[in-house]
Amino acid sequence: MLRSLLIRLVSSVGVFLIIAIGLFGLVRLAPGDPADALVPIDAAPGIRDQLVQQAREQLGLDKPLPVQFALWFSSLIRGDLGYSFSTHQPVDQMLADRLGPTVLLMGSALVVGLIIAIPAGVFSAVKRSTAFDGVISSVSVVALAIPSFFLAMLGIYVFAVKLRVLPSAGMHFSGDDSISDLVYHLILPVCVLALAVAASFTRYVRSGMLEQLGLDYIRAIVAKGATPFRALMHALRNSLIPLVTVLALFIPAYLAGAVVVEQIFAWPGMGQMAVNALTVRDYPVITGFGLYVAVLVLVCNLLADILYTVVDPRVRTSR
Amino acid sequence: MTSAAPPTVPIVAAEMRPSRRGLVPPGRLALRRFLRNPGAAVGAIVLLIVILAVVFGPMISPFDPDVGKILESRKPPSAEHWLGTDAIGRDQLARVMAGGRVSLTIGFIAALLAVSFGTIVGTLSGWFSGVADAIISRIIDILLSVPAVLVIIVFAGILGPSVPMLIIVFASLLWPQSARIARGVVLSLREQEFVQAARVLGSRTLFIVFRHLIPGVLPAVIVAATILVADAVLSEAAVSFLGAGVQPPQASWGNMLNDAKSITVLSSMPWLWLPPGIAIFATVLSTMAVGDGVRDAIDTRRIG
Repeated sequence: MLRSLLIRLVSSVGVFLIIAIGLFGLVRLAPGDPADALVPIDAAPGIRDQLVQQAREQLGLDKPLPVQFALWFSSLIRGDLGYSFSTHQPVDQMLADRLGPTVLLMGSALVVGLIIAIPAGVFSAVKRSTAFDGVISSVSVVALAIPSFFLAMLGIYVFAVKLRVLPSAGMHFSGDDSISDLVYHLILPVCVLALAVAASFTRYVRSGMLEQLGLDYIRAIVAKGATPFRALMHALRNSLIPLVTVLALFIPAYLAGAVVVEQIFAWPGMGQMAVNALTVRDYPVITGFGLYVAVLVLVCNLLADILYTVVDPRVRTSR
Repeated sequence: MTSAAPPTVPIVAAEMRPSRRGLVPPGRLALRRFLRNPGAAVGAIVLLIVILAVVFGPMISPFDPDVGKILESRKPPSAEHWLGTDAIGRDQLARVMAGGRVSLTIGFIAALLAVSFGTIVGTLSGWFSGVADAIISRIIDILLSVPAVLVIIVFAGILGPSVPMLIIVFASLLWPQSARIARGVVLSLREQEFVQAARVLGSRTLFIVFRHLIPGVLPAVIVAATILVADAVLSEAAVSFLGAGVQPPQASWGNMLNDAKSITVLSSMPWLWLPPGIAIFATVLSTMAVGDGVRDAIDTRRIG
């Protein structure tokens, strides 16, 4: 078991290397010369060529491509991702600053989503083929088909514009740093994201519960005279096992959802940073974001493998 | 997808009753089951209306979706402009229909590419097993957790946004879904007698793959394809909304919503953001309903 995890770890590092080479190559393919962009256009023509040449040497662009990549990759390993073209801040610093709000948003949405999904899934499995089950499954299909940004617009329209009970954007009112104000601003974006989480997980919980409830041990528990609640808890515990790995694999998708929701609620997270960088073609920030996404996907995949073996004793002891 | 199973037993009895012309052919049986499923039937009608509107609408509409009269900007719906006009006086209905063309074209082409590639890779992977299968399965696992929206932000940020890029990225991230399904079906098919027989008779691998395996895989994969179309339409809307997809002046449902996200438009000009939003929602929901209906209709195991 340890050996197979080790193989996966090594292959993940290999995949990361391939992605890093890919991103590096992509930036080199991109239109425009970064050295040329650094020098003001209105510099005198004779001096300008010299300045561009100087900038090229400073950026290391006169060296052969493999050397450039080695230099770039070694600074990357040390956490140095270069400087943003537009804000001139170090990219690693920008990523670190933006991580907090995004994690807060995604984390709250995951928690709220699971709090809705687990009971909804359990009850629709127990009350299978009833009106309750039908309503839950229709609601989750609708929730999966509605684009999050459209839902967010509807939410802003109803709660911020018409009813005026919730703020339409941002993380704080200016000058108010209290936690209650933060929570107040979190409600709408978290609800939009949590609905998507709940919709997909209700289905997983429901099908997991249906599978478990049909097994013999449940019948044995009921035959022993245990309360139905107790039997349900046993089934729930076992049906949550595959859910844990699904959850880990879904995290990158939720980051994508958060990027969109951040954009519409002007939430100062990573998504907003990436979209701003996209509009001004800020290569270092975009590359940094791309590497971050790559690491997230690979770590979540590894996490899913590890959790799978940790949570399910049959897998742990089988090899 | 998890909709309650229909009460199959009485239906089976009615369906299997031989008609005057003998037994009903399985294709017509499936069609009948499909049309009896209310969700699927309504979904098919809505989808048909959407497709007709985006294919023929722009031909009939008297307005150019990309050119507006600045003096008629942000007019509410009227007899002339059924859905009003946008910030630079373009007819909103013409834009919704033209935008739908772009969104649906991207969705269908991406899904088609993904399904073709995924079916072939999945079938071969399931057939050959061994190391190649292990590597392909691992690639499938990883790609399945890569969100297209984030990849497109990175690609558009470096290379610039473009429609072909969207299609390529969607197709290359969506194929694993159909590959996984195809692989699963092939794993069970390869053990069945007719495949074994073909093998014993000395049929070449390619012949077995295209004659025996791919036809067996297709029904499941076609159902999966509808989900891929829905996925691609939703992702296209999201990236165009973020400014990384279809670029103005060309309309797409996503970038029309991007134009409308300011609080003034949101609060006082609902005709600018409700129609494209509802169009995405209706298209995705009806595509998913049709997919579910097809799955239930051709799933003979459910009846047997």
